[in-house]
Amino acid sequence: MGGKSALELLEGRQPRVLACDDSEVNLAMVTRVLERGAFHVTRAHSGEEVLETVERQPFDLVLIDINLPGINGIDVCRKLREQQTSRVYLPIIMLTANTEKHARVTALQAGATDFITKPFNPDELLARIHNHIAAKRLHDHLFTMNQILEEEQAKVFKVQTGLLPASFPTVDGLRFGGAYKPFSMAGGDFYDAFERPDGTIILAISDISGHGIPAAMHMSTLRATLHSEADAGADLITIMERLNRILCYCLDPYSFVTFYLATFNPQTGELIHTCAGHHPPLLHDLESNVIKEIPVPITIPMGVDLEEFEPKCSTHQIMPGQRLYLYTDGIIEQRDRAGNFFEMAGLTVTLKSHLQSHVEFIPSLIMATLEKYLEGRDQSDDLTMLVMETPKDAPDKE
Amino acid sequence: MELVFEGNDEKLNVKVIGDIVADSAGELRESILQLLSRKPEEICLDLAEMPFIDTSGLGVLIGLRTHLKKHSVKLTIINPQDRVLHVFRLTQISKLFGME
Repeated sequence: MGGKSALELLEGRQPRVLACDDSEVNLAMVTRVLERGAFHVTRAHSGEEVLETVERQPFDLVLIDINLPGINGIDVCRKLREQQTSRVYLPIIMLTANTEKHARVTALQAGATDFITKPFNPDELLARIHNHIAAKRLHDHLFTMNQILEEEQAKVFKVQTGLLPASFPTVDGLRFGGAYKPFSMAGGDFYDAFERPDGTIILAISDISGHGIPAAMHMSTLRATLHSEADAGADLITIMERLNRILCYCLDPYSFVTFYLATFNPQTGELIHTCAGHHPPLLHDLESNVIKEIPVPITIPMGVDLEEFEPKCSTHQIMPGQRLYLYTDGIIEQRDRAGNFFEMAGLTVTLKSHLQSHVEFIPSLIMATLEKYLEGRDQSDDLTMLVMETPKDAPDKE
Repeated sequence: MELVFEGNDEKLNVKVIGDIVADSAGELRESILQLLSRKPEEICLDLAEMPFIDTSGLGVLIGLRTHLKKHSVKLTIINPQDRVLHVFRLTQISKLFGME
């Protein structure tokens, strides 16, 4: 549309009506009435001519006699509706005789917008056409505005997706997988995995309450701060406190952020982690196929309070051949048609069933399982998961 | 979600019936903020009949706590169901409401 709304395009332009009747006398009369109402009239004498003309040029309304030789008015109407896209809304008014009550119902069912009974009152015809064209213009305007909004939202989504790791660290046989499925076009979750200059791996997952553009903006702030602090060698507690301070200033009081942050040393298998209001990670031992939540000290979520925010770290040893899962609560809080939550049980059973799957695909497999669980209904929250798998053989300790 | 108001002007009890999720969280916020005109000392949310709360709902509870604190009104939570209590404890939001 080149930035111009349909309304702007139509405004000031004479409304265009395509009128069709096989009787030259009737068509001349209709044309006279319409031209008196300041409409631009294009004339057609058959259903075939209507279909051809509509394909060639845009109209604001079609006025068509129900009884036509060849393709009759109802079939023309049906064909026009079949060809119609959501972009274009074309009002169709049928001209019927007073005796054709059943045909009127059929016409409406075929997608006619309205009908006028012959012999018609010229003022009534003009008034009806005016109303339908006003509705069409409103439709076109709303369609264009909606399209602009969707385009803007898609841009935010693109920027946001660009903030997720494009690739994972390639260190010591570690393998990663990640998936992010926002609730709307732009969501409030994020995950990250990157290597620090000292060779340790930063793992992070976060859930920003709320969705949409504000959440996406906070996400980009979080990620930028996390990277600059982590690359500068800050310890986990310092990073957590800085993130909290930023969020306490910029978040609205009815929002908060949960955050899990860890460093993993691929040489020693040591995981140091801390958490603010987020679910602890799950650890999957591949040999025994046992999944356990690993303990992490949890403080209040970020962006709520400066004094009560007291992040603490703990250390956990990750063994060879184990998978570490970080996830957001959306995963376990999806409900089936009967209202049952997917729950931790649903998640662990699914993860165990994918023991043989490549780690890169695990998060997408979980998303697919949830989609089935939702039975075609929309998800109610952002869904995010990050997985890291340690190689089966012991890390090289030279 | 439905709200039932009880109690006197010093301590107002608000019974929450139904989920607090994105769709209902705003309504809860507005209803509670309106109670400020009655100048209570404490507003107590009874969550015995609230089966589920999502992050938007938790956000509203946190925001209300901060807002009411500025007006010297205490916001308390009683009778959360097991599932909800688990979420409060897991996120440490329980600490903000003195629920431990």
